[in-house]
Amino acid sequence: MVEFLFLKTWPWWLSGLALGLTSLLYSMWTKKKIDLIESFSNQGTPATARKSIFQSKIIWFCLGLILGGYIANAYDWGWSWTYGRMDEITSGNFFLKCFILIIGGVLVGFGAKWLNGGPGEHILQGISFRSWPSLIISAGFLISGILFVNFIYRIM
Amino acid sequence: MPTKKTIKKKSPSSTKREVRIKPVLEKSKLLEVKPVDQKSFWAFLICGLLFGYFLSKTGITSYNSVVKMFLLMGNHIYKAIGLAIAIGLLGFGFFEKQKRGQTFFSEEVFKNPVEVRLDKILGIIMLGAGVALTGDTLGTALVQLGEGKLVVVFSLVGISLGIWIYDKFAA
Repeated sequence: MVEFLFLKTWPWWLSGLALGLTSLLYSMWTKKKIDLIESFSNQGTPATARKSIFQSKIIWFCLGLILGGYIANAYDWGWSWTYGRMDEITSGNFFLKCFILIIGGVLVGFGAKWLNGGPGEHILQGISFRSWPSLIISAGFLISGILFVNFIYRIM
Repeated sequence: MPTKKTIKKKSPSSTKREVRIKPVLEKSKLLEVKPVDQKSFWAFLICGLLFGYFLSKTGITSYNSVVKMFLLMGNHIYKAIGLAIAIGLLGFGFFEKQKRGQTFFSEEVFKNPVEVRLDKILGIIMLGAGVALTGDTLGTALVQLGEGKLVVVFSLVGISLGIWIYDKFAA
């Protein structure tokens, strides 16, 4: 039971149910969409123009995300520098791994700011609000992700 | 001291207006829960905690399962996210119809998040390529940090850098 709560991943129907209900709860309680870009982009603005970090409450959401990730793996938790199959591609070269991650992060940040929301915002919440741009974005995101991963792992 | 007098004169008139409006609104606001944004952070903290916990339990936060999903080798994540979307569609549809003068959700939520233009296809491709490279999105990167994967710090730096580049050069 302890392992089930604090270490292992859940079967798909249970976690899917929980995710859907949580996204409902978020919008009913706070009357907002999930908008993580706000929290990230607050860092870039000059100090005079921005609100204090704790004034926009989304920072508490980010804190909650980090804590939730900790609790979900609390039974066997520790810092680690490994990153799954990424270590296979880079063959143990740490700087190459960091370079790939930074380049990918720039792409994610730029694209998410351009589209006014990352995949989480568009796929989890956007489709359930029946906005058709979100549907197009998530379909396109899936297709380009599938193409790129197949290019990296099957062709290269 | 003229300034104090003007303030004193203004304040009672404004309160009177509020008093006139209030009883009309109160009947229609029976079902409405007041927006929490300006008052308490507990809503955001608790929702974030639940979200991070369930995201981690779904398995989206491990790079291997993201790669497996994009290689079409397993459909665990597809099923989970599909169920979440279905519940979202049903739930939002259900609560949207149940209105006595007010909805559960503010109308901002139902606005289109993006203005549609053709060049945003490039943004979609960039998003897909970035997620394929890092296995992160904005939310799951933070969850991974909580799980203790220190490498994610670099992709968090990258995300902040990307948003900064957009604000600086493209906007």
